[in-house]
Amino acid sequence: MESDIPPYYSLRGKNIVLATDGKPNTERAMWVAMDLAKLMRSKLFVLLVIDPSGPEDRKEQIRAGRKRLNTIVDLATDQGVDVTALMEGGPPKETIIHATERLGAGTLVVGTSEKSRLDRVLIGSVSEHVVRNCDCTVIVVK
Amino acid sequence: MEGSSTSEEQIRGRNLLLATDGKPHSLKAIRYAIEMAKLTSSKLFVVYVVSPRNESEKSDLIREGMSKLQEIKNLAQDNGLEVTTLLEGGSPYQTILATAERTKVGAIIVGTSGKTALDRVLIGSVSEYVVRNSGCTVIVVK
Repeated sequence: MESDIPPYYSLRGKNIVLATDGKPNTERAMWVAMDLAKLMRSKLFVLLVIDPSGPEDRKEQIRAGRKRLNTIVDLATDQGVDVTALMEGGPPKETIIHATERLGAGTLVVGTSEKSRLDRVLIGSVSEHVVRNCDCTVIVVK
Repeated sequence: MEGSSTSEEQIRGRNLLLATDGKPHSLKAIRYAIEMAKLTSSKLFVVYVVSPRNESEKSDLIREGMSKLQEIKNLAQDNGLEVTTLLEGGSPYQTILATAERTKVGAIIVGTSGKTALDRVLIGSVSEYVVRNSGCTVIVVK
């Protein structure tokens, strides 16, 4: 029983990836990611995934996504967080996981949406997929 | 924007709930929870769920649980944390969520399975259930 708990687990300095689809319901996830980045003195990567299979107009998605990323970068920068914005196109689940691997993320922060709660039965939500398949710690913000 | 929410409200000072069964897969989560509680100045609750399959193994499981909780409590206190340990009986699934509601925590911290398919079926499913059904933020430690 003695001390099988690891003696050390550093929360500091490991990259944090915030994955967002830019929808308003991921607002809380953004605040959590920023706060953690400050506390952990970590770099924050904000990943906005454009799903090409979605029904929305691609150009409009990219335009709105860029605006959203700029807002997050400004907020994070104001708080002294070292932040990098990324926009990538592809299926959200795989795109997010590849990005965490590529960026050597210690933590992935994702939000949940009402939509995913409804779609869950059929397709499984993005958050459940990343929890299952991501190699890094995952924070699902509700 | 969710009203006047700021980063401060999201993580810092919100209570944390560590759900553990003392098994190897959750050891890292124990250390993580302690570091996170320190970093965020949070009070730490620790719930250990015993699910005896029969009367004869009940007392052994309870003793094991108490001993593990005591070890975690000592470690948390050594780290200057305010910690409350809870030993609960029942299904891990519902018990973790019920405890989170009762203790009004800001986030639940759970460990996760290793890489094998069997691990995932047996252990990972609790994390996934918690992610899916929790009303609060969930941190899945890897």
